[in-house]
Amino acid sequence: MPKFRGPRSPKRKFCKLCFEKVTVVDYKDDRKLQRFLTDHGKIVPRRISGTCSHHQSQVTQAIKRARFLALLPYTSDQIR
Amino acid sequence: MREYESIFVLNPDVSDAQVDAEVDKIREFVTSKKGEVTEVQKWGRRKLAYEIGKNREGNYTLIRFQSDSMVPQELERRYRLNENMIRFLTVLYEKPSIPEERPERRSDEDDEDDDV
Repeated sequence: MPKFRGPRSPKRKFCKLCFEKVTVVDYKDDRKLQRFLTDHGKIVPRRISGTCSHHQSQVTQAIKRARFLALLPYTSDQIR
Repeated sequence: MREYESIFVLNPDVSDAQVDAEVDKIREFVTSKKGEVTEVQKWGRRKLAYEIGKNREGNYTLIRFQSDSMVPQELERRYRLNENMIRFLTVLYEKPSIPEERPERRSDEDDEDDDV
């Protein structure tokens, strides 16, 4: 029985990285990592993005490395 | 021997020659420890996502090398001695995923591509 997912998301979520067959998430590719960040620069949780646990942990690690190298922001208001 | 990847960010005011000098120094050091530099990527000046010690831009360089595990440690110690260094990160190199594999695999599985 399909779970009720609310009126705004009728489709089932899936892991976009599994779909693209990504094996290693690159921390240097800030553009690709951007889509796992909110507008404020926070990491999008799995329950929103639908990322599988394997890829989510890779994404998290990659974002944290990219943040340290100032490729990605820690928060959005650091730009101001 | 393992393969490492090291990115360092220099002050945006340093010249191209200084970056090259730094790369040469690292190459020399890695080879002296029986390692081998496999790749150097100069990204050049790039905007920082946030300010680091009054700097808004940084000069990024990536170095990939094979070496024993003592080398990265010593390398980072050397990084710290350089006053123009604003950030550095050394991690184990992981082979990037090859996205080209996907369409290839699909044509094997699917019977739809019968255009030949």
